[in-house]
Amino acid sequence: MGRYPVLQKRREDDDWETVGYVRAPDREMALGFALHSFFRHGEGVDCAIRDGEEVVAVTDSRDVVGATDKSYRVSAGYPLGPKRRRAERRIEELGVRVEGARPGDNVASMKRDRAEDWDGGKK
Amino acid sequence: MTNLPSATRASWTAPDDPRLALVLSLADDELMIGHRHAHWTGVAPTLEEDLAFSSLAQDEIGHAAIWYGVVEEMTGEDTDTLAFGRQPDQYRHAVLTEREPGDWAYTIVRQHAYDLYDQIRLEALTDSTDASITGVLGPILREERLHRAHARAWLSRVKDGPADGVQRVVAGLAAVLADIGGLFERLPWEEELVKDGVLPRSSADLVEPWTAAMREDYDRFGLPLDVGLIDPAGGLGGRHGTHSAAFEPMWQEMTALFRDHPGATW
Repeated sequence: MGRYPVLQKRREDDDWETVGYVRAPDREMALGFALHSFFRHGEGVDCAIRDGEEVVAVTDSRDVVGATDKSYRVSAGYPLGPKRRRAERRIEELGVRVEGARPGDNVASMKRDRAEDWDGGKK
Repeated sequence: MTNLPSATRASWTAPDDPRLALVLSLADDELMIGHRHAHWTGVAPTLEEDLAFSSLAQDEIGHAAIWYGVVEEMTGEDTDTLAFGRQPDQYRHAVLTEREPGDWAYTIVRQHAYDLYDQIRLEALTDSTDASITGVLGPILREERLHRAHARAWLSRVKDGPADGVQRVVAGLAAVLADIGGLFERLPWEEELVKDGVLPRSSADLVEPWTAAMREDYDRFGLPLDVGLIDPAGGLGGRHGTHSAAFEPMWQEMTALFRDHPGATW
């Protein structure tokens, strides 16, 4: 299995930039894997792999990318704002309070608590 | 299905309508094959293949959503109910698409055989007199090209690999061909659909081009294709709601959330 750098152009006038790697038995499989792994969500306008010194573009990539609606594949396809607001209103109606920290809240204190727990464990 | 509480029973039944039967067969085929492909998410042979095959699975389910959208326009029923709100005998997919994933060889052989069929079926439909069908074909056909390339990439490498690879493909092919008749099964009201030009080629008319395309590919791959194993009477029933034992557990899993939480949204 070879290791092939995957290149991408985000916009028409951009240069190729390396966005990752795929492992594949040969060039053709690497091109397919690159397309599926790095290019199916509209990440750029062109996709290629580097095979030795050669840059090999994925043919037909523009034809297939964005052919059908893929919004269900990304979090942006699911409008969470109205859902959260509905949940907040419901919480208010019920007169309850959420005790647990939400992700991102009080991260520093959580880390400190964990560190203290760990120290306690060692002792 | 008899064990389900009545409040959660799936209940939508398609009215008798030739066009509906046709579009539901298209939608259901794609939903089932997509669901079966999704089995490999997390356990495909390599990480890259995991992503590629999961992507194909999502494509197929996306195509199902497009076809259910056409049904939605025809019936006013929402897509989720169409996909998950029917009893098993209301689904119109071919039995081949509901079979358990088997091993990787079976999976790829089935993907190749099904996608060749799908290409021939969809290309025939480009001449349909029904604009709601022809209107959605373009993007689906473009993505299906990628699917065939994926299957061909795998199958074209088998003969140069370990000997058991060829044996496994041959075994997978025998299982696929035993069910192949179901893909070409006559649809309900098919004569009417053909007469009205909604279905430009009958289901049986697709057998010959599909067999020729299979023969061409397998010759190119250097793999044996025993056309004698093609069973025209194999895997029948799906287009009329009769499915194999593989479908009930699949249906239970696929529709569980919809049935347990009626009206839930993401």
